[in-house]
Amino acid sequence: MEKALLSELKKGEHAVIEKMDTNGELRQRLMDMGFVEGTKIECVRISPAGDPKAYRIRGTVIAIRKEDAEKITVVKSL
Amino acid sequence: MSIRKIALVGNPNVGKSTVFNALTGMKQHTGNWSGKTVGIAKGVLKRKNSKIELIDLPGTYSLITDSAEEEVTRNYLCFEDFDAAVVVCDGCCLERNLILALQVAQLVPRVLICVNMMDDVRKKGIDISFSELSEITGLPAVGISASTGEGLSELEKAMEKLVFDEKEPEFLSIRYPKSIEKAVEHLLTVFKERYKIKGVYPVLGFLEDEQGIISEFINRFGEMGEELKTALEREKSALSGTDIREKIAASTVFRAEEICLSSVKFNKSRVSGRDDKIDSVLTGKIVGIPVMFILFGFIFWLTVSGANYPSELLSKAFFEVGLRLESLLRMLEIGDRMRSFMVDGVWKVLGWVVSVMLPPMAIFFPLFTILEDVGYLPRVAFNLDRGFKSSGACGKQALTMCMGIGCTAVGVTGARIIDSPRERMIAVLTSSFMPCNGRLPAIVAIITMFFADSAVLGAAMMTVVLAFCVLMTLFVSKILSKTVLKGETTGFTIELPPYRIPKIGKIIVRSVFDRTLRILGRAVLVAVPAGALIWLCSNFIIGGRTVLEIIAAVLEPVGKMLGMDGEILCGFILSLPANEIALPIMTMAYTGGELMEMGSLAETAEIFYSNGFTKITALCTGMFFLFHWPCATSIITIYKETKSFKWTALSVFVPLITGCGLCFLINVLGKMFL
Repeated sequence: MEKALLSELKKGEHAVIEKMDTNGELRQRLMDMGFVEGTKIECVRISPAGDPKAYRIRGTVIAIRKEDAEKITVVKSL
Repeated sequence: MSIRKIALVGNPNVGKSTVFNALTGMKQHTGNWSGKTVGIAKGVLKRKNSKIELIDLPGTYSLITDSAEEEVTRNYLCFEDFDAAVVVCDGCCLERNLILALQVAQLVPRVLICVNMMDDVRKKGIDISFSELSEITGLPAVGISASTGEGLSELEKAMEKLVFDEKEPEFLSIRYPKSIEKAVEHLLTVFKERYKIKGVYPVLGFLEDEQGIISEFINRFGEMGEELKTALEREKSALSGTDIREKIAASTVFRAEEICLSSVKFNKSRVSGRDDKIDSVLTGKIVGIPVMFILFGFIFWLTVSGANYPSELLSKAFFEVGLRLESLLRMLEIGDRMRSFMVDGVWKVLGWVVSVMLPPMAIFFPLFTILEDVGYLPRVAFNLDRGFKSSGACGKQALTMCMGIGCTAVGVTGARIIDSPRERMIAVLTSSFMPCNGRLPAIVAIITMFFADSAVLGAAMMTVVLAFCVLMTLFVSKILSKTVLKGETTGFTIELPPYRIPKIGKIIVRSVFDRTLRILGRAVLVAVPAGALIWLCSNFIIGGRTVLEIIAAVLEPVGKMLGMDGEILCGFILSLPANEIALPIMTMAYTGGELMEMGSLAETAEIFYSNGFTKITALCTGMFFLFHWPCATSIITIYKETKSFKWTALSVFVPLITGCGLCFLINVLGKMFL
């Protein structure tokens, strides 16, 4: 049960979303894409510049920037 | 015959427009990335005894939104009059798609779930039980594959049944936390009585304090009545302390998860992992960017090398027909002046435009459409977002720039996919920085005439030119975000869709007929009157000089300062209606409207050289082609999108200043060192 920020996930690491500290438009957008507390998430791709990273969530792959992923706390799964 | 209206809704990039096209036989533009459909399209589905009007709404992730693109859909669903909705879902990620379906079903009583991409679903080893899906949601569900036509007749039948069903339809209900359900129930009675709004969704919007929906409501019904106001205040204060938005979203998301748990099974398949492998090349840390360059370079190489021969052929054909036309006119005893007007003026410019424009477009567009269909464009945005972020812009601008390679005006409208108004404006103001198809062939022509003696070199230069355009876009975006469009970058989310194998045959037909010929048609429409005008300008004599000469003389000093000359500037100015006609105008200005073999690049180069062209002149002309001002159509589009004279004017001045600055610099430096 290791806590981490979503942005810290390495490629191939799985986790479960614990808390979302995003706000405004982005928060809504992420919720619509299925980013809610308790959702499984996996980091699947890292763009050539290292940011943004892409995550698999609810069967889709969504890319978000580092500063946004930093606002999401996750619990790493083994 | 009875007519019913059905709205077509869905997440972005689920093949909604393909479904729409398949049902109505229309030709909305499609491709594998989010946000192609930005306006509402309407079409008719004819059945034996009925007619169904289909309304294709822009793709949206949610009904709760403040983005311009998604508002269109939300407002339509909340307030327009229609009979039913079909929610198109991508079967490969049904769970996410169902979130929207559930929202819609709380707003519209008759909803059909249409699961698209069934061919991909099977390939990926996904099993969807439609009976289970239907049972658990209480909504009819059909599986189709719009691109192959599978299941379309079932879909049509189901749609007919949906709208002509006699049974009083019911709204779907989702379990929300008790306190929210209570509030909704109370408010709904007011809405039903006063405003004839029956669905739960608008009510949720009011509870969540969503400004978009509230202001649209006021637009349509006037200020909120006292009764509604007090009821709303009361319920909100009862709920104070709860994060209503979060609770509502979570309820919907988990309901979708529940539904999928019982109706969707994932089996191991042979294609799983395929996308990962492709992605590790196309978005790879080291190879991602070089591969992108090679890919675009290859496309340009095919365009440059493939276009030459057909261009010459077309130009010869036009020349031949021109000669015949002339002898025909001679036979009809049409006067010299009139004959020259028609052949040298109208026909020549027309021939130029067709033979220089058509071949590169007919090669470039299908290739580009393949990239679009495969799903590569969102990866470009993913690869380049970092650059956009440090310029204070949005990675999705990479997508609008790609659209801009097709047509600047399309890129401008496409900027609606960018959520933040500030970042959207940056994309609009720099929209003409990407060479549109009106300028692309001209730039190819200049490179071929003056710089590259082989197709490979030409393609390499074209790729460098494109990279330069991207860099300039980023650079100017950065300046804009530090000056007139100051502000923080906002969040950026982009979906990387699964790769799809493109349907090559369809792509060729679609890109040649829908895109190439349409754009060519527009160019021809402009070329004919422009040819006439140019002829008049070069044959009307005032005080011993032609009008064209007079204009060119006036522009000469400015032109010289920018490394060009009066004739060239004159060509740029007169081609405001469409960039396609700039090169032929310049040639005509030099030759005074004399007949030569049209579109032959070698001969054109000769003419340019004999009028004092040097490498510097050519470079400046090419540079000015890249950055001068958007064509008239684009300017009108920008005004429509921004609804502001100020921003529209800026969208003209930003590229103009950039172009003038660069040309001036090249001219000064060039003269110093060469």
